[in-house]
Amino acid sequence: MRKPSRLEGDEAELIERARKGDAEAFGVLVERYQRRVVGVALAVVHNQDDALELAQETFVRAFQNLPKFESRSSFSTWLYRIAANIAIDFRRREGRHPVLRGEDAETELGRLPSSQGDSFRAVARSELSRRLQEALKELTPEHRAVILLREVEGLSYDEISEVLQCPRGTVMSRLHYARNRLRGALKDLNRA
Amino acid sequence: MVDCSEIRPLLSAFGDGELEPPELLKVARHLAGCSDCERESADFSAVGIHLRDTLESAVSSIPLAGLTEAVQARISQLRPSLWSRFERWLEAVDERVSATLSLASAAIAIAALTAIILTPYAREYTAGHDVQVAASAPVRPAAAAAQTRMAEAIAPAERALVEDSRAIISRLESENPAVAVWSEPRTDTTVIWLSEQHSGR
Repeated sequence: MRKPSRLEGDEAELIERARKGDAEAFGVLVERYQRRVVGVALAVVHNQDDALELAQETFVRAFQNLPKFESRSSFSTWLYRIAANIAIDFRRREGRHPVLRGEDAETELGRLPSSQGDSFRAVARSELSRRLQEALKELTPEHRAVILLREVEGLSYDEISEVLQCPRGTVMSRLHYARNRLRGALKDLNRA
Repeated sequence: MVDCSEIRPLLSAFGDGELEPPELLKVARHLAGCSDCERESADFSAVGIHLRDTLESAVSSIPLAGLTEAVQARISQLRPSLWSRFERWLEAVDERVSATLSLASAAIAIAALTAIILTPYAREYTAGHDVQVAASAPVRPAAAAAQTRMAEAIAPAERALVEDSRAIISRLESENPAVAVWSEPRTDTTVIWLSEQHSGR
């Protein structure tokens, strides 16, 4: 996934218009970032419907808080911060009040559409993928968020630190811990 | 050689290129001579690749149609925050003040230009009147009213003359209220005005 540059193209103008209440301009920003925001949410909550709902909530909250957005920082980083906070809070609430979601059944990461083709489905349903998602489930939402922001979104440690509002050292140690856990889950496969 | 326990916590950041130069050098030197740590570092890279494949596939399979519309529908129902309403109010006030200031500035500029352009003509015009008044001084009281009427009658013509030729009426002389004589020395012009009655018309 390509990492967007800071306020690229007409982004500053779109943000300014959205800040003044222009819903159409904000719609362009939603189109631009929706997949990434859904990705952050999905990595933390592991459920497609929840991820979509949380993405929607992320954008609504971003719109409400646009007057507070300082264009010195990256809009995407600011957006990821909102998404990660909402998803982590959601996951914590769910942890305290677990809801039956049929997690024994097919999980979101394995539930891929048939239009992707049999070979793709075969890869996606592979043992490696299954183990990976099991290991991800064992991680805390904070560890999941940090590894997703690094591995999928390609954020630097400083950017992750800004998104998750934690020290750089914490980012480093969380990443190391998460990678060790995932490595442990894949160990036998890698050796095979 | 540095101990593996000292290097392992740095391997993740080493792969991400997030170590400072002294630590980077230390890890690189260690990896060159330690196959265990080198394997662990390679495993971290593999984890990253598998994770990206899995998550990107999962995210790209999610149908996003309608998300934008749903967000727009929700924000259209939002009442703007107090702060953003205050900001918009300030902007509106600012725009109104700017427009008023622009109009006022334009009006002042026009007034100033008008004054600058017309002042010499006004002086000339006034000077003409002074001569006229001076010239009419010796006129008998009985003829004063008639001369005033005459002066009023010639005023438009005089104004036109001033505007057209920028002539200066240096003298206006006449003992007869029905006759007026203008002299314009610069253009060496003399104008004699006769009333209709005097000319017999």
